[in-house]
Amino acid sequence: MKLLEVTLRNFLLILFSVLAVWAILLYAFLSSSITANQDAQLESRKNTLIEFLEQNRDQIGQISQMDRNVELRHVDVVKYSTMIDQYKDTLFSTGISASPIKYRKLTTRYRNPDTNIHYQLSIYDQKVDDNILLRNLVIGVVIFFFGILAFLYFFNKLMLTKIWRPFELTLSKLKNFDLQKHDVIEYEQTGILEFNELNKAVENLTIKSKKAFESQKHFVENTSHEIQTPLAVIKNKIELAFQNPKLSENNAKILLEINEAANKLSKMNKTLLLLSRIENNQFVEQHEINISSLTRKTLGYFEDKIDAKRLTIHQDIAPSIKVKGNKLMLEILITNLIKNAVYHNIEDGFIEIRVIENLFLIKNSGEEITNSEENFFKRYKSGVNKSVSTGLGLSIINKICDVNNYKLNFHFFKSTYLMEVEFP
Amino acid sequence: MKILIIEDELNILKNIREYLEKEDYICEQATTYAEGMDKVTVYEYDCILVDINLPGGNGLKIVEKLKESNKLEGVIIISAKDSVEDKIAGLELGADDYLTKPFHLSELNARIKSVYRRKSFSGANQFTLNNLILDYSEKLLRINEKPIKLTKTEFELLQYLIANKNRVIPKDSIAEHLYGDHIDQADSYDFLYSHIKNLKKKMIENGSQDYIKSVYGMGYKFETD
Repeated sequence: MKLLEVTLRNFLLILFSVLAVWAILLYAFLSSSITANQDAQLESRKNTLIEFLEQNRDQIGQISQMDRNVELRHVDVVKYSTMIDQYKDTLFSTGISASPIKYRKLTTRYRNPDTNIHYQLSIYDQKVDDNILLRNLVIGVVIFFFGILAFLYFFNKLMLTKIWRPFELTLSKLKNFDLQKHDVIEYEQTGILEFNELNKAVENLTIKSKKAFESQKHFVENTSHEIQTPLAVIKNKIELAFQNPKLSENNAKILLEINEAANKLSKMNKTLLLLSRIENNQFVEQHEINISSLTRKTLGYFEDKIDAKRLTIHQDIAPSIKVKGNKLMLEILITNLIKNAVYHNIEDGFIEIRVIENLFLIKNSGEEITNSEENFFKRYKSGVNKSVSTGLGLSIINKICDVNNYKLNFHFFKSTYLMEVEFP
Repeated sequence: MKILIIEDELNILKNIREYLEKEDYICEQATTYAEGMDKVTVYEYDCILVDINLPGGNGLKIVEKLKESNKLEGVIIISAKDSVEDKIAGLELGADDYLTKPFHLSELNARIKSVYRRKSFSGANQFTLNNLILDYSEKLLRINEKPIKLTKTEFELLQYLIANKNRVIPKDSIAEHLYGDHIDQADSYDFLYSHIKNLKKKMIENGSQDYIKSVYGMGYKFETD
């Protein structure tokens, strides 16, 4: 739920309950003041009536006929003495089917001084219909509520979106922020203190991240460079030691093993260096590259290995498919894809290569995989563990696709692997 | 042949010298940019090996200087930086080759010979040993004047072995030379073995001596003596 919606919802909830309480109070107040008003009217009618009776004592019996809202009843002296003026709500049915109507009744007493008869005198007055009052009130409240709602809606739309704009802007910058591609998100002054602080914090954070990222990048690159020289020394010393005619077979074996280890280290180092250089966007030059011929040429390098494993090659390479990209990166990408398919293949297996339009697809047989798909590209996690490979080839493939916005799809089913690179 | 090695890493310098001096090359050395520049301007060499990162300056400047003064030396850049830009820059400045550390001394030796062959017009375009002639420009092997049909790989293999004759050439050095960097080595050795076997067979069948020797599984040696 959006912040605006949450605020609006809570506000409306509160507003609604406030309005409801207010309506109840208003209703109580209104109806009590109406009753008070009516009571006062009844009082004055009573006074008029009593005045009239005083002057026309002989007509006392006809009073009910004269005014249908007046009722006269005899009472005894005892009751008369205890009676006081009383206001009361009462119901009256005028007909059989009609629903009873609410009346306000004033009960008072009267003694005819001529006949010394005691009376109870009731005066009726129809009440204002409560239901109508209530209905009107509810309608009023609802109209008011929706009025506020509509107002808030447009207010939010116009004002709040405008007020929150700097925030949305910062947010979208953060969302699209890529340490590899962008510099820091620079501080931007807004009219609002909180957003200013946010922008400042964002700037600081990105500066720090950028610095950490840069130093990490350089660390990898520098370390790899530094390692090259001692590695060169080791390898050269071994080569020189090989020349010694007095070298025993045993020592030769030891040297050979050292050499193997040094080779592996050197290869790994070169790959790490390559990875870091791809990450550092050091391959920027873009050309139109014919990947059809590149694929055929690369396949040629692996002829020996393909023959040795007796692999069957199915090729479906359309002539001169061209892709825009960096020549070296595409070379490395395709070499690694083919290499991967050859090395992780089984004897008498197959490789299927298709180059069509903007698609490079390679399918190969192999050993069943022990890795989960997510881990597949992570460094050093190559499940098919062969001492010759550094396990970094897939990382390179992944990195190159990542940097160039090539879409890389990978599937495997039992012992068949499929890699697909979709060029933009 | 007179060679100048401009390299600040003393260990590497020593290794290169040790290897090349056995070829009867005269090796001079410089360990800083200034020293390198001095030697280059004063003396003449057949081949110059230069590192890019030198104390006091960039090795590429030395290459530039050589080019400016129209000297005929073969120049090979040795760098720890495996960067295409540097490689292109170096070659554009007039360097003849570019080698990335770590490299095999046998590879360096072969490159020096190849650069020297290209640079010198003395007609040293073939290698002769007894009844065997290896013609570099024609890419042809002759035994007793008879041309022998070799595959491209076999020819390159033989050329590499001869460039480092009487040395033990590590298997990985040969494999890297033949297959390039992008192929992992371990099973390259099997292919190497079969190429060597075929090459030996062709040579012996056509009346050549058996020059190619395997040494303790370390590598191979082209023995002339």
